[in-house]
Amino acid sequence: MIAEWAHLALILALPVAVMQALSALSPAGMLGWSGGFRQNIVRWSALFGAILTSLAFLGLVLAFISGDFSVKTTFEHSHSAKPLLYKISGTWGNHEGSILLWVLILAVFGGLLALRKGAASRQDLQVRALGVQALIVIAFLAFTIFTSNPFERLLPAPIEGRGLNPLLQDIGLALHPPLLYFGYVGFSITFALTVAALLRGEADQAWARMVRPWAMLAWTGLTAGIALGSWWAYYELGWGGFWAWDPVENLSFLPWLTGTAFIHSLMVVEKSGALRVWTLFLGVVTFVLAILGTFVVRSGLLTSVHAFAVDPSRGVFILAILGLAVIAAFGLFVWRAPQFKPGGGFAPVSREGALVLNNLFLSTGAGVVLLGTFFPLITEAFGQPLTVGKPYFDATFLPFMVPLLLLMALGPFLPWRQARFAAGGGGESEAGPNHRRLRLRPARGLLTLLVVALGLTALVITLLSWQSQPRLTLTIALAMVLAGWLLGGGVLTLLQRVQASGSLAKVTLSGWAVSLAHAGLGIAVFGLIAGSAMVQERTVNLKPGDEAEVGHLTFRLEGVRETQVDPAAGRNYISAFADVAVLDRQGGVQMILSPERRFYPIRQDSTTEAAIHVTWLGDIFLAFNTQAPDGGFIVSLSWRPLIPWLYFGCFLMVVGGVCGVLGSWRRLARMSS
Amino acid sequence: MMSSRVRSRLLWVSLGAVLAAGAVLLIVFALPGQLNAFRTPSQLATLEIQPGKTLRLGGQIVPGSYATEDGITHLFTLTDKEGGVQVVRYSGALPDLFREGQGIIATGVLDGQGGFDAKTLLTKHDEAYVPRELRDHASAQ
Repeated sequence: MIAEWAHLALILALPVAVMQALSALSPAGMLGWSGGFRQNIVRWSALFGAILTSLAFLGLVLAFISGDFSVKTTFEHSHSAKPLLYKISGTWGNHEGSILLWVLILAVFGGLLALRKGAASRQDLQVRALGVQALIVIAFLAFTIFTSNPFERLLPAPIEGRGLNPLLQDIGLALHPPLLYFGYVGFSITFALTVAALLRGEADQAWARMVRPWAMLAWTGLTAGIALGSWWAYYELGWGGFWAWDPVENLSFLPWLTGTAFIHSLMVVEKSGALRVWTLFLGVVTFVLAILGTFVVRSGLLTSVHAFAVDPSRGVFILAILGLAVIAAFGLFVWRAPQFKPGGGFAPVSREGALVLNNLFLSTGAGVVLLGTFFPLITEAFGQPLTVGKPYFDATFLPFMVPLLLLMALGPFLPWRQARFAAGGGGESEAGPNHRRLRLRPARGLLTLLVVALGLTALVITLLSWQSQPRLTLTIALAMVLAGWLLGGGVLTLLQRVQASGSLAKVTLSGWAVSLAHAGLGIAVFGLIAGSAMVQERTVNLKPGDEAEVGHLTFRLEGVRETQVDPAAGRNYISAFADVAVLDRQGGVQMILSPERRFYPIRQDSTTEAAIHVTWLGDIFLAFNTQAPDGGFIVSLSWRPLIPWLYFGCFLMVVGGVCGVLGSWRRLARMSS
Repeated sequence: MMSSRVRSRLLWVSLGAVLAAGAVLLIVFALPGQLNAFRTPSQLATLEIQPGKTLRLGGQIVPGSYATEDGITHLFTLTDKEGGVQVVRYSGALPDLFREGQGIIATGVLDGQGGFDAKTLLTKHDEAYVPRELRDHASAQ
C-alpha cells in the first residue's frame, strides 16, 4: 500500500508544481492576483510540493527497508538478507531511486527558498525564482514519472529481491550520491535566482547578497560530494584511484570549477556591482553543467569505469530537457545581458582584479576539461571516436592551475577597488572603511609568504623522509613549494584577519571561510602531489611465511583464513582474508592487516576489500587479489604518502564552505532586517 | 582618450583572449600524442598500427584462453564478432569483474611481436553495463 500512496504523492507533486510555475510567471494581473496573494500561493505551492516529494521518497525508502519486492526497483536492487544501512542507501543505488533523490533535493531546496517570506524589496525576485524552480521541478518530475518510475509494480510479487550490486554495498553509497546531488541541485536555486534576475533586468548588490548563501551551500555540498567520491574510488579497487580523469569524475568537476568561479565573482558583484553580466553567465553555466553531470553519467554517452546501465529512451528525454534549458536560459541571457549597465570600476591590482583572474583561470580550466571529456563524442561525429586520457588533462589543465594557486595565496591580501596595499583595511566588507590603513610593503609580504612556503615544504619533506624513503624529484619539490605557498597564504590570511579585528574570536565567519578553504586546498594539494607521484607499490606472489619489501616497509604473509555467510551479523558474503604482518626494523610484528576478498553467493560476484592503515603521514594500503596456480597468494602492497592530507584538506574546505554559508546568511539577514 | 573603465575592461578581455589562446596552443600540442582510438581485434589485423601507440582494444574474453603462471602476469585472448583474435598481456591485480566470456576494454600498446600490453582493463561496473563502444560493435554479446 505504501508504494501506491508514495506514487500518488509523486504524481500530485506535478500539478502543484504547474500551479507554482503558472502563478509565479504569469504576467502581472493576468490571474487577477495582487502581489502578496500571489507570493503566498507560490510559496505554499513550493512548500506543499516539497512535502509531497518527501513523502514519495520516504515511501520508496520504506519499501526498501521492509523488502516490498512487488516494487520493481526494490526487487531488482534489494534483498532481505542485507544490512539495514544498505537497504536504505540502496534506495538511491539504482537509476530510478537516484533520480527520485535528485527530485527530492530539488523540491526541498525550492521549499527552503519559499520558507522565508522575502522582504518587500525582494518579493518579486523570490516569486520569479520560485517560478523558474517550479519549471525545473516539472521537467524532472515528468522525467521521473514517465521514464523512470520508481514505483513500478510487479505482478505477482516475487518473494525475494535480486540483491544490490556488491560494489555498492559500501558506506560510500550512503554518503557520496546524496552530497553530490545536494551540490548539483543546490545550483538550481542560484540558477533560478539568476534567471529571475535576467527576467527582471536587475542584478544589483542585494541580488548578489541573496544568491551568495545558496551558492556557498551548493559549493560546499559539491566539494564534500566530490571528495567522498574520490575517497570511495581510492579504496575501491579497479576504480582508478582518487582521481583518474574519468569522464564521470570530470563531469562532477566541471560545475565545481565554474561554481567556484561563481562564488568568487558574486563577491565582486556584492562589493562593487562590477562583473554582473559575467556572474549571471556563470550562474546559468554552472547549473547546466550540473544537469550534464547528473545525466550524461546515466545516458551512456561516455564510456566510464563509473557508468551504469541505461535505457537509451531516457537519454533522449534528458537531452531534450538539457537542450531546452540551454536554449531558454542562454537565449534569455543573450537577449537581456546587453541591458545591464556596467557596474563600478576597479584598478587592475585590487581584490576585484585578483577575483577576475581567478575566474579567468577557472573558466579556461573548465573549458579544457570540458573539451577533453567530450572529445570522444566530438571526434565520433567525424568518424572514429578518439578518447584522451590523463596525460592530456595533466598537460592542458595543470598549466592554468599553477598561476591560479600562486595568485590564490595573494588575493585575500589585496584591498578592494584600488591598488593601494593595506595591512588592515583589506578585511571583509563589514570591517569598516578605514581600519588601520597602514601601507604594506608588497615586497616584504611576498618575502614572508615565500619563507613560510619554503619552511612548510621543508617541514613536510623532512617528516616524510624521517618516516619513509620518499622518492623526490625537482618537479615534486617545486610542486610542494606551491602547496606550501597556498597553505601559507591561508594561514597568513587568518593571521591578517586576526590582526585587523583585534582577536581570534572577532574574526568574521567570512574571514574563517577564506582562510580555511584556501589553507585546506593547500593541504589537499600536498596530498595530491604525494598521492600521484610518490606512491610505492608492488604486486607480489606470497606463500605463508614469505616476506616482501616496499619502500621502507617490510611485510610478511602470515596466512589466509575464510569466513562463511552469516546473515545475523549482517554478512551476506563469504570472505577470504590474507593476514599480512607489517614488520618493524627488528623483524617484530608491528601490526597485522587483513585485506579481504568477498564472494556474494546471491549475485555470484566477488569484490576486493582493501585493508588500509591510516597514519598521519600516509596510508599502508594492502589488497588481496587471487590465488596463483602455484598455490601462492597475490597481494598488492603499497605505501601512499600524504593521502590522508588530501581528505583532511577537503574537509577543511568543506568547513570553510559552511563558515561561508553562515557568514553570508547572517549578512543577508542583517541587511534585510 | 579612453576612460579608465573601458581601459580596464579591455585589459581583462585581452587577458581572457590570451588565456584562451594559451589553452588552444596547449591542446594542439598535447592532443596528437594522446589520442586513443578504439579498435577491435579484427581491425588490429587489417590496420597497420605502430607498436607503442596507445589504443583502446575492445572485445570479448575467449573462454578458456585465460592463463597465468605466477598470478601476476595474465594472458588472455580477446575476440569480436568478425572473428578476429588478439592476445593480451596484463600485469597486476585483475579487476573484480574479470571473467571469461565477458566484454572488456583494454587500454595499452602493441608490443611489436603480435601481443598487446594492457595497462588498464575496463570491465563492467554492474552486470548490465556495457561500454558504449562494445555495444556499438556488438562484440558477440
